[in-house]
Amino acid sequence: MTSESSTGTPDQNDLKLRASIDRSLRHPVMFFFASGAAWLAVAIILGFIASYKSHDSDFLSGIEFLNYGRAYPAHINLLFYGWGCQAAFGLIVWLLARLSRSECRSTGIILTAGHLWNFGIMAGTLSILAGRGSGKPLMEFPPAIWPVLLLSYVFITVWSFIQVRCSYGGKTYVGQWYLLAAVFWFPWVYLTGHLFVFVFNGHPVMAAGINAWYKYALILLFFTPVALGTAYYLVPKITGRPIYSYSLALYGFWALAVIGPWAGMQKLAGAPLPQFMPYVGATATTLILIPGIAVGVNLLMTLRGHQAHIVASPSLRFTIAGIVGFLLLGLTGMALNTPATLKMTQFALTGYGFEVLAVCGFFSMCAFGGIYFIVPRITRREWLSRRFIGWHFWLTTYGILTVVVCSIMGGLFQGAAQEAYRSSWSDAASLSYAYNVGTTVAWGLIALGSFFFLVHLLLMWARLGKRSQHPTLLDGGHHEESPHGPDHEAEELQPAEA
Amino acid sequence: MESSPQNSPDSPGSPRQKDVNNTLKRFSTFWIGCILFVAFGLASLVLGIGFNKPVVNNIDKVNAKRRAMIKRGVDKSHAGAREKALLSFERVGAHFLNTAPAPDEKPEFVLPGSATQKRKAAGGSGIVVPAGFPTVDPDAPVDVAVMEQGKAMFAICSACHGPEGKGMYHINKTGPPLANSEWVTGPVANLIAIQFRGLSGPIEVNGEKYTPVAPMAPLPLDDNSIAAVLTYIRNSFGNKASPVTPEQVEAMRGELGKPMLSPADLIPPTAAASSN
Repeated sequence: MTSESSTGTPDQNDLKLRASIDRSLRHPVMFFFASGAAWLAVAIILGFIASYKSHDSDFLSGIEFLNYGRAYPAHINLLFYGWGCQAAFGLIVWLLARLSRSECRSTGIILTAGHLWNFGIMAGTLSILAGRGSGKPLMEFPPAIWPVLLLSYVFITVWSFIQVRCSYGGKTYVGQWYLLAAVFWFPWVYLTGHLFVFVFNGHPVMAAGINAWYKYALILLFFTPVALGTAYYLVPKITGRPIYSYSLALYGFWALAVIGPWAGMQKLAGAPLPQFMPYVGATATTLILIPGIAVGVNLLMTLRGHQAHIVASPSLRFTIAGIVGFLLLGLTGMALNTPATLKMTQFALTGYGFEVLAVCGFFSMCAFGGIYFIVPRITRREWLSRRFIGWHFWLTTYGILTVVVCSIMGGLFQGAAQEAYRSSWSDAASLSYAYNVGTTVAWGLIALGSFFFLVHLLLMWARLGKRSQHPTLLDGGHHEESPHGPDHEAEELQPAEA
Repeated sequence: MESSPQNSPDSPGSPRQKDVNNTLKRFSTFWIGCILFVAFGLASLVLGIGFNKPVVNNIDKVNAKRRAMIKRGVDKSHAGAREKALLSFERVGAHFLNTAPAPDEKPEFVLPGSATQKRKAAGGSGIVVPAGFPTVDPDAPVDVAVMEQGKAMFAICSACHGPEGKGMYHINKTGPPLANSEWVTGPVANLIAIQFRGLSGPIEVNGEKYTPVAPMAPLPLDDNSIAAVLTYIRNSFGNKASPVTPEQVEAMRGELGKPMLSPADLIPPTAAASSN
């Protein structure tokens, strides 16, 4: 993209600027990535426990604070707020600084707000595990936590808005649209959801509807634009080519902006709400495939002829896996929201499969791509081990795929058995049993992959990475021209400070 | 998207760089950002304050408060209520007792064919022994077969009077004893009338006063059965008196349908001992 994707010699001012941006953001971004990865590990372990309990209720039955009703919400909340949001903050802060080409001047405030965010997550999670959760899906943290999180969010991201507005250089990148949109959509979704559920005295059924909307809005209006913004930054950057079609990117962005906010209420199909609400939600979820195809076609066309990059570059490999995840998300959304399938998804595991696909299969993969790209630049060290990266990739990919397939297939069997009112209710449990076991095994795989990632990231944070001018690539070959992007000049320009 | 590494806009002194360092613009952007972040929430809050009445969110808590309030009120109004109630019962009861009309037995108020009319026609509530009531010799032999029949019939009576005729009064305040009872060995007319009309009220037997909790119900069987059971009780439990004949029972049939007897209505046993 523009000057950064040039294959010629970048001018010295440019290199200095990039180096100073990276230096100014080293601590906050590493803090977000590292603490996000740590929460991810906790979330995965809790997911493993919750999934194990769904087919073996005696597992850890003596430990009160790990019973299913606490481990499951803690798992989902940590996945969204502990890992997802913090990875997104790191990406937003770094990418918007780079894209608007200005240093961060509020490192201390961002770090403080980041600590406040982590404190909120910690307090909320402990409350859930202590049995003090609010019981509202994805809002299980006690009601005192959300204003704290919102406040820290404002002080994490408002600086990026200042950077974009005060350093407008006449060009706007595709990644910038998405990231800036995410910056403003998150507080809208978060504040609206919590106000209407916790503060206003609306009808309780409507509050449940808003709660269901909130989950999808968070996925489609925050995690999705952050992931797509990252992908739109990385793909042209690493391949050194411009985006295949600017207008297709614009079309995909507005399609997401128009369709995204309507999705979510299909969870309440059959509930005493005006019937158009759940069906509008189902329609919107079906239509998510449109931005999915726009993004998928655009990025894959950009990569055409550069398959070697996908094989070699860890960032690109994760990013492409994430884009494929987005396409799968669109297809799954279409399959699960037809009138025939919608009624089978109401009380089944399918919704969980959809969320895991969105947050882990799509967002996290794109975020991993971003992290594998960003961390070497801000620490000015290269990743230590391509084996670790490879293990992380394959374990995570296969694990998430298994969780998603098991949850969705098991959920459909479960839902169909629940609908069959002439047969025993226990059929619903016995039909999904094997799929539950599969989900548990897959969470174990993901936990292993996440362990490699966490250890690797912490070693990088401790600045124990390789002092090399060659990026760590997965194919092990020697490249004349770095497929990891042409900006490792910072090292030459400015010797590392130990 | 095309690259333009030359003419970098980041050189110091470029218009863009000035904007980056413009403190006023940075400051205003900070507030614009903050306001945009919460704009929708603020709008909803304003609308919410306008349209949202403070509706109960926590029904349980409020209901608990309400329940406590109601309980306090009930307790308050119940305080001293027992005493008050007793006092008012006493007053009202006394009032009713004092103002209760005396039973009016004016002839024009008595229904023809009613028990009162029959009693009046018979000359009061007492036992009417018809003229020509058959008498039996006190030393007449007692038929063993009659005694056996009477014993079988006595199974009903023993519920209150006890299988040994000692009464159940000492156990559950029902029947007074039949053994050594001057009433049992007394006038036969009394015993037959009791079978037909029942008996209620405190009664003195063998010098001891009994107040049974329930009256003896009339048990108007056929003549032979009544004669047998009365013969049995008059000649068991240490009693010794004349047997009762079916003819005697039949002669007393006029007592049937009259109001229940009280001991005062009976023929005194001492007088009867000779008259039998």
